[in-house]
Amino acid sequence: MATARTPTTSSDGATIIGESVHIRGQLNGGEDLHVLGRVEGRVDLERTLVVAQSGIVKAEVSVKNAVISGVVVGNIHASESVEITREGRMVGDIFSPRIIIVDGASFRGNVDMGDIANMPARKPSAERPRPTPVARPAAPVAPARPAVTAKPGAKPALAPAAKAPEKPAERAPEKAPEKAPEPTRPATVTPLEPPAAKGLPQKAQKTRVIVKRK
Amino acid sequence: MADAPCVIGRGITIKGNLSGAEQLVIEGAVEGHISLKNHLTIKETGRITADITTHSLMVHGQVSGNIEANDLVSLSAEASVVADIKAPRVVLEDGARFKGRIEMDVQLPPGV
Repeated sequence: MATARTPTTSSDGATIIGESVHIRGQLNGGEDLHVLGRVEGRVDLERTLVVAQSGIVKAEVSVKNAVISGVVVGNIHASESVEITREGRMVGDIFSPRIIIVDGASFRGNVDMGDIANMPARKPSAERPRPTPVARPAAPVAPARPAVTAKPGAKPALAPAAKAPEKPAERAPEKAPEKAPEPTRPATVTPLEPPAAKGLPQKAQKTRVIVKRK
Repeated sequence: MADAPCVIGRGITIKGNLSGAEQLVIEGAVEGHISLKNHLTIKETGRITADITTHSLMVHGQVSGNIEANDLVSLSAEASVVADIKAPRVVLEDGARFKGRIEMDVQLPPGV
């Protein structure tokens, strides 16, 4: 059973680098990349890099979006956004106009969003250019790829819970001073689920790249 | 209640050192140093040009200076911060504008 599985692409066509795969060198691409294994060197993507909880990326990264739930050591240049989730750990500098660090994440490095003085305040409605979150491949693909599912399995629970309390929690300190010491707790887990659908339509045009598992 | 936080209103500007042990909400302007052993909230109207040492911090307004906290530093979506932040927990909400360095403890797996 497990031997027949080749976790090559997720349901939306993104390339997956499996847990036991270790790549050293330069990686370029025009589609989403999920790293469950290890990548060292350089990563240049026109789309989204997702570093899963088991993933380790030790590289200079240049992408459109990055979602980090694993480990990244190196600098990230993202033309759109970088998000470090609760499990994410990163050492390096981030250059991106939109950077999100969720409570629980750990990060050491410089953050450069460009000219923040002239940056317009973001409308709350601004849609997230979010790719498929790490949690996503686990659910839909579960039956076909048991081994891959096992690892990010813990993830799905945390993202959905956070949406509702976000705004109220933020304002809480004004009226309820006793709560002030921890005003941001609930607000910090940025929900990844809703925009996931956005990634779907593109699946048709994607080329599939196969990374074989050992 | 004794628990009600001290508020520096939006019409107030403080230049100098500000220290204390109770919760503080700043809606006005502060220039200098802030040293607090409790939770500090900087409202949307708050403008801080100061080095801040505090237990925890929530920023909705503008801060420029260095920030050091024992617990959580959180920059809300309205925040605009130019600072170096040193704290065990730092949260950057979507929309927060930030420039500077963030120092948290990062535990890397062996061999990385």
